[in-house]
Amino acid sequence: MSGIGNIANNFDFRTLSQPITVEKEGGWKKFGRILGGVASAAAPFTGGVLNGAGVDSNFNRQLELIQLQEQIQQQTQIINTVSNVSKSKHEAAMAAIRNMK
Amino acid sequence: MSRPSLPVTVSPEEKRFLMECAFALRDARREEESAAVFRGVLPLVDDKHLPLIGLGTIEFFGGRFDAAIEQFEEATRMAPTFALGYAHLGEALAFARQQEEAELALRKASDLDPVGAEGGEMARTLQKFLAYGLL
Repeated sequence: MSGIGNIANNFDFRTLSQPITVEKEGGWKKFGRILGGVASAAAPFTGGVLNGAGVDSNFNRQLELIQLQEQIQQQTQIINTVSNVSKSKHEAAMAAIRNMK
Repeated sequence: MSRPSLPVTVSPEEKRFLMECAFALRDARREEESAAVFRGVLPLVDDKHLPLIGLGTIEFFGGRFDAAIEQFEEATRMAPTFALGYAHLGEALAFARQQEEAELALRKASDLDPVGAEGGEMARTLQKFLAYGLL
């Protein structure tokens, strides 16, 4: 059934219509920067094994991925709910037709 | 002047087949043909609320929510205890930004069909949409 497409056309999916974006600034970013700073400060003592800037960018990339994953999960949940509506609509209509006089 | 009726009988199976065809045409986005079949089935069946719901869904999919509401209201008048009619009415009212009326219609559908096979489940899912502010 093309119900999902139809509903998607009609529904006011504010969350779905927005592109998946990753917040650039936030508390975690600051935390990442601090962590990076700590790593940079520790770098001379660790014989340059830990590169501060590398830790910072790796941490931020991980954080972005987690945020992206959360958004995808949220959208999947909405799509599943829409799909359930379509399914229940279809099943109810077909049940009514089967009992039609 | 009323037209003389043709000496043709349509069996229940044929009526069901026609209804399924109409729904299949609608889902294939062939709205005009689907509406023609629903309108053709209307005088043939006792359960006139079913083709009316079909016609309402065509209006709904086309974004003509007021026309859809009219069809669904007519369907609920014809079958006041049929939950699916209220569920569709509730959905169309929600899209027409008539939230309070939508909630009433969906609650009615949910009460009429607590099990869920005849529109109650659809109504309850739509109620969740309304509660989350997605409609």
